[in-house]
Amino acid sequence: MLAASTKVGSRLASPHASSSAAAAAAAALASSPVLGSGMLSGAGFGETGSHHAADAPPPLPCSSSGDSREYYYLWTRLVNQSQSTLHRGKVTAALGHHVFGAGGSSRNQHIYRYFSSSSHQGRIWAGSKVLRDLPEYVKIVEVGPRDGLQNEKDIVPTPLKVELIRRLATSGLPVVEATSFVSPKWVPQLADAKDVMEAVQTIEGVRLPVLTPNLKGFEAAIAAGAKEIAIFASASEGFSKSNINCTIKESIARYNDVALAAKEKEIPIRGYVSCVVGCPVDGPVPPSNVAYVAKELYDMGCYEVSLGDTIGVGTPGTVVPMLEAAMSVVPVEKLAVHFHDTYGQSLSNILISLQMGVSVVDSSVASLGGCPYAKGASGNVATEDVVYMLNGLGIKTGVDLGKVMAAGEFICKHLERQSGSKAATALSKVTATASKL
Amino acid sequence: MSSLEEPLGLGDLPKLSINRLGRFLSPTARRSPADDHSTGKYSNSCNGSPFHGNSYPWHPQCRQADSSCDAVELRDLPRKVMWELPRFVKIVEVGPRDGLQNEKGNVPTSVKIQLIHKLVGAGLSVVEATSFVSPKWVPQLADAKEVLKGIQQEPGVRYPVLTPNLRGFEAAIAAGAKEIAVFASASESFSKSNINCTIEESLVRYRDVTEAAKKHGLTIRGYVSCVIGCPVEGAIDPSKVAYVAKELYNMGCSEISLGDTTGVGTPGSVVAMLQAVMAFVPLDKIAVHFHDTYGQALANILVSLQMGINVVDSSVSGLGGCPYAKGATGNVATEDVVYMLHGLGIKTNVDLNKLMEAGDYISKELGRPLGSKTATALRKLTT
Repeated sequence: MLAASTKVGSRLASPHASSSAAAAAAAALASSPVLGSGMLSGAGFGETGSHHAADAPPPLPCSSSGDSREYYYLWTRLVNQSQSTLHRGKVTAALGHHVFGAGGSSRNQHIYRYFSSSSHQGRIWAGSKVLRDLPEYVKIVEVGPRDGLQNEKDIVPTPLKVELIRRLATSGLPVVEATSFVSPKWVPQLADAKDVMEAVQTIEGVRLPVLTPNLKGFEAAIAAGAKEIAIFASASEGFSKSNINCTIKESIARYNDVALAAKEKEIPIRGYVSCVVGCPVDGPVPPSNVAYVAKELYDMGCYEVSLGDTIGVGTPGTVVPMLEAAMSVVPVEKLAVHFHDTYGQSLSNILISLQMGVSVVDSSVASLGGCPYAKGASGNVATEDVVYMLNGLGIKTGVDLGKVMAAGEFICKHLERQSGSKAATALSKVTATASKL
Repeated sequence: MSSLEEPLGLGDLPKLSINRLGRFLSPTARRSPADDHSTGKYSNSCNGSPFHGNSYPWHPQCRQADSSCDAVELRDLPRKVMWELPRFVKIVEVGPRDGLQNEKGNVPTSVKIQLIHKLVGAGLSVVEATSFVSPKWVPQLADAKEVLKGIQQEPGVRYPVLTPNLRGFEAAIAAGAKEIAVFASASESFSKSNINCTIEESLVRYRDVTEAAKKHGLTIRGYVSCVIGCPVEGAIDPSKVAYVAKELYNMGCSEISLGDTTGVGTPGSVVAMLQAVMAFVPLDKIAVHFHDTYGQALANILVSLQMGINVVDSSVSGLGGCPYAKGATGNVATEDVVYMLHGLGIKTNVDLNKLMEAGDYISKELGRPLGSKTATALRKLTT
């Protein structure tokens, strides 16, 4: 197994670089007496695949000392701050840090070494073909303030929306969908779009796209100061008719006008395709439909096309053919995936999308936004869960998990609902019961 | 093989659903006459159109009576991401033991027996029935003997029971157990705090149990806990996991289940851990037992499948919270796993509808909401 993987040019950690945060954490952890004792010394797996441990079981070290509790707290804080995660191409202080993952990337085909180390060395994980071609960086597009709040029962007052956007921006999320310029008749939760937009003008360092379903919405958005817009088409006729009251072709024509106006003003446009796997009206959606709509949006000038599994029914079996179709007409780096967790499938769908080459993922803090088609079921995938997985895979996101969790807590308190994020729930509960150990 | 795909019932049709399914079904999708579903044989032959991934349990009008025509031949997809996916995955249902053991409420013996019967009726071929541990530690399973004696054991179905020591083993034999399970930790601290002895001591103890089991001709299943992280120690070295797995395997365990007890694993750490274990234990003897505490279980299962693993532990309706993070979830829900596997065209012999019924039943008895998103979504579709 190992021999095979060495032939494959896995992403390998280069043995030197280490981020300063990782080094600091490594130093802190390495000095803990717990770590040294937890390892099997001398049980190395050489790159030739010979396993010393196979000859005789290595002696088990004695168990952790009484400093384990201190270490545990340190570990938990690190988890919350997600500081020193594995980065592609860097050796990690994976020791003792549970959010470790596959090795870093190396375009050189080094032999991948896998061994258990003593506490001072970094850990180089055996690369494996299943994780070999993952992107180094994934852009997370936070849709909580728009897609999330739009599908929540309660209406959040404007200042709270603005505060949520601000907190999300400071957590490092590069793109935060701010609001939607649709008729308040359809989406009363976002009737204050203009006020929100004007208030967020001062937030820097983040892109704040807004939805504009037609020219009127576009003009209102621009007047309110929007610098980026988003348009929405469906891959399913049935959904298009029931959701925006026109056929797919008609909606494309409508968006063409918006796109022209946007290009004139040099406003970037993000395209969304909904119902890319299944439609609540029409049933399964052929990938060719998705390719058609994605291509139309891309040709119209969208810098990115986000593929949305609106009712959350996708599994890797349906996601892969759909992505293949889309990738045949739109370059993979311009594609984003927007999975819903209604059936609990989103993280595995995101993983398979990363394996296919996608590197932009939409998600919603605290999993805001239920599913309007299955009452009481969940909708958007939680940003915290996505970041947790990406951190564990050593994929950079620029996002501070702790701050996102704080933003999630903030909005959930006001909405008086539980966070829909399992990672956030677990991380906040773990510290609460730490004293029990 | 029964892959779900029966509609929820005429009375359940949601108002929005219109049967346009016919348009999208490939006309060439046919059931292979050679399929024999009842005995659990499976085949992947269906020349449906490439997109026709699997039948669609979420589309209530999906009248796919010939549900065999589901597996798009994923291996034919020119996509590297589907390497080595198994064609069949055996699901080991741990709800009645691992699930109920970690639930606050206590259910009567008759309910436990009913649950096991329903699970077997849904097609599960391995159902962990109970645990012969001291009722002082696990009061929820104090009726182990009655449960084991009370279940109608179907031929071809396995009902492993946990036996942490010789005494539990004797009690299990007396109650008619044909398969036992032993549990070792990859983390010293967890071993001490959970079963009050070091890893080595526990292995010595289990050697006695497995010797006795082999004498009686019983099958033995081995579990390794804390394979990624430990609530006390933090990250666990994969070589440690490999060591414990190897010891259990050498002792005579026919299958080693690797458990991410705290649910902290992500595909990166899982792959590293699996690679270590796979160097010592044959692939087909390895099972994965992920917890969904951080929502990572399905992604971890997916990557394990890609590595070639074909046995997955799960718990109906996600029974069994996490004792280390109060209020957080624990076991991954069988319904969610089955939904993903069927979507991948992987056979399980499990009928999702019947499984959801079992989950519904036990959730009502426990007075808790469904722990499976798939079950919740499919149930809510009808409102």
